[in-house]
Amino acid sequence: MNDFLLSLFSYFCVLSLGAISIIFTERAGIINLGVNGTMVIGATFYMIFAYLIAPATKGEANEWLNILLYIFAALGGILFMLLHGLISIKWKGNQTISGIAMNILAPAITLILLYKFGKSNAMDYKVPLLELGNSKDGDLSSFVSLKMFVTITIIIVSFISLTFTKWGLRFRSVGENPQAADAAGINVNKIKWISILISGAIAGIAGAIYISEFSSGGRFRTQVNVEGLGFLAIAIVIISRWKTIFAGISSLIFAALFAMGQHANNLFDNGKEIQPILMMLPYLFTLIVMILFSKPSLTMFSKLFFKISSAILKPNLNPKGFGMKFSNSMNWVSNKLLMMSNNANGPKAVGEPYDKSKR
Amino acid sequence: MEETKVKKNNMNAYEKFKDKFFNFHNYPARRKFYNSSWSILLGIIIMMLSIAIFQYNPFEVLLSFVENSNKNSLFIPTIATYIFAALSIAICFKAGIFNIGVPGQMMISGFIMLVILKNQEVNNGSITTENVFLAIFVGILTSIVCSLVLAVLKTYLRVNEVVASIMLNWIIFFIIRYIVGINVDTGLELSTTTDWSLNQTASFLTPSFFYIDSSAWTKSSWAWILIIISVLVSALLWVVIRFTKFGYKIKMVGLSKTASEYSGTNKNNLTLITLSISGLFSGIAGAIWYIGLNGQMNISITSGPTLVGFNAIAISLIVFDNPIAIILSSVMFSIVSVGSNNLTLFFPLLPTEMTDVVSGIFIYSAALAFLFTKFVPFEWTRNFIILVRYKTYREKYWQNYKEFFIYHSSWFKEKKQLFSLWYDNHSAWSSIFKKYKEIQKKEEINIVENNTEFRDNNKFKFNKLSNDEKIKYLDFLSKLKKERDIELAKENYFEKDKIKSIRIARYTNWKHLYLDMKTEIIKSHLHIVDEKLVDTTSEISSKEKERLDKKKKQKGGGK
Repeated sequence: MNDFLLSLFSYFCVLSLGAISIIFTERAGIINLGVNGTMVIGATFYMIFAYLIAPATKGEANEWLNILLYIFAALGGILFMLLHGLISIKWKGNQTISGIAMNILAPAITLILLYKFGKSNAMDYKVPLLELGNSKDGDLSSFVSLKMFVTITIIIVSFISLTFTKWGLRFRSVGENPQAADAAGINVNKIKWISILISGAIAGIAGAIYISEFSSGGRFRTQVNVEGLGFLAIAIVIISRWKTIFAGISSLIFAALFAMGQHANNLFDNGKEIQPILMMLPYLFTLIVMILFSKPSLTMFSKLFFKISSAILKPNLNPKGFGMKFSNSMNWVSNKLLMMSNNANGPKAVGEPYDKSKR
Repeated sequence: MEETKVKKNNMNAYEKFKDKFFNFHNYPARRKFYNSSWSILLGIIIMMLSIAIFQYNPFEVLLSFVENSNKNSLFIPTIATYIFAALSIAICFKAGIFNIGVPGQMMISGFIMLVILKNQEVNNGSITTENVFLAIFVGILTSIVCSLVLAVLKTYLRVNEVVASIMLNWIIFFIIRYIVGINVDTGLELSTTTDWSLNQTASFLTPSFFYIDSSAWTKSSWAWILIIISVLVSALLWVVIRFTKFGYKIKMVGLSKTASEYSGTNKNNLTLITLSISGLFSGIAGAIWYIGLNGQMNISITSGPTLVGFNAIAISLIVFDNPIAIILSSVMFSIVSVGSNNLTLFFPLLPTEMTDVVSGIFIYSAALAFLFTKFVPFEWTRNFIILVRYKTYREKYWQNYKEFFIYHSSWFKEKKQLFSLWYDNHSAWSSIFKKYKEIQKKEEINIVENNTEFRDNNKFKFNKLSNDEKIKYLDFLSKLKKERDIELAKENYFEKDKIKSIRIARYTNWKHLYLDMKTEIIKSHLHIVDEKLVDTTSEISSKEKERLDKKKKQKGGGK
């Protein structure tokens, strides 16, 4: 059980960081489907620099080395995301295609890098994790670790900066209506480039967390694909409607589902048979939630709630006290759902390269 | 307008071809052709660089690709699968739907075919051709249903189709893994400890009927029939998209959703139809890949949806979703993918995952294909050559060149003067610097001798002084520096070349010195200097004036 909880937490870290990195770009009007690839690149940079620094430490790596390696992973993520920035901002290409291409390009780059720096197609080196207890023994005190501080600070800082500061308002305005933002005196392309840099750094750190937690025995193989966690992060962003706090909460649920699939043998009696179904659950869950939170279904639900409230308010029923309160609350819920359905598709200018002539 | 129509009707085949690819007026088709060729060239160059990292001659490796693929029996059927898979993506991309669900649909159609055939073999002992056709029919139907699920999600629930199709891929993959895992003991085999696989070798797949003999693959009829069918289908799709009402609607929806809705197309119906067609094509591709080629399906714990479907995205992207050009690009991709299968036999240092690298590089260059619209190196050179031939352009070009140097000449001159000044005087200056440093050192020694704090160490330290002494010392230093500068200016500077030095003093750090000494030292020289300065500026201005006058005269003459 302790293993399950620990892996849940580390999946939560990876998923929430991936989701926030997508939110930063999509708030600035850039579709970012290449998060999976960026995470892979961050993981490779973490492992390669660990391998390169290994001879300097003479086999006894300090755990505090993790901080330096996280920075290197962030740099790798930034370098890889600059490709996406070039296509989406500078050359005004198709952002969906470039995102798909990045996901396929990243394992190719890792392969070449690994053959250049590592032993044949793998690396055998493990940096000890920076945490209180030992997570291999199943101590729950190892929740207090570097990855916890990093994720929680990133979630809180991004939430505050995007919602409460002037900088965040500019960020969101670029995603909603870049022409108006430009007319108001905001440098649109500068903000888009900043968003690319931030998201690359965060996704790189997410990849570093993944590889430091889940590489089996410090072994890093070529066909590491981060288990497709980047795609789940995209789904989390859509479900949480481009808001950081909701992204954190929903990534907790997803992490629970994902960890349940991984630890099926320990949790259930017939674990080996059910394992594929359990591993399928997060994907199925995203589909169902996306259907429930889509615009047509939300409007349908709001109509349903409105009908309930109006049915109670009919004169022959004579509502007083609780009935009145209930109908009012139903009305409030239907209004809220209508509001949500209007914002179902995210930032309005997402996916459109900024065209100054449309101003 | 009528004249041009008449001209086009009277052209022969060669002229029409020339008009299509090398004429200025027919822009998009020619441009797309060049774009895709540039992107393929870029992909090949990057691929060769990545091979050169492993210390092999890239040309040799590329040639071995072609040789290996020619020898391999899987070469022609892979072309057919790639064509069908790419067509199923291309028709969706034309309609503006990013359908990535092709790998999942291929897998489910192949899986259901294999299950039906396996059941027949277990129950009846043998498989007839009728069974095979029934299995293919059912498999294609399931893939159509899968793509229709995606269509319903997109049209009626407005879910983002990229994410939804990725999720559907994974769901299908895990369902197949679950079913295979349950039925390990009964029907479906567990070949190794880690890989669950459906091993299916039906009588249908014997070399005489479907499988192609490696020694004489040219004689095998089925491979050629498959190729002919796939080429015919792609040609038919090209005709449909180009010449029919339905194809025009598809293109219109892809170009602009609002305009198509305004002109009266039913968008929901159209997406349903296009996605069902793409499901049909992907089902056929799955049938060829899983029954015709491999006869089995390998599902390991680490693997995901098939890479064939993802390669198909690159194939259709790199040629801008043109059904005819898909044939050529799929031939190229199958050369790469089949030829790189057994590369490690010939080139042992090359990694086994080189196919993934190559496809990754190609798909990225395919994504870059639309960026080459502004990359026209041949046109740039041609335009330059044409322009240089004209005398007027040449004159203007050279005149601009001259003007540039005249404009920046003062800057160049000053840099030159500074350098020459330093070159002439640096020995004399260094002696003066030495002299003044000695004076400074004497002063410091005086301070050390008089002050009580320096008795232990004879070295002078600025921080040990009291505040008053610090101020005194700084005053002394500033006076000393001024004296030094004045001496420099006096002895080596002004007397040799006065105009030069003052001009330099104006533009460099000596400016303050120039201002300080203006009243004291240079009074006698100043009037001469300023006059000369004015003269030099007036010379340039007079030259310019003459040139301007000439220009004016020319213009006036023209008028």
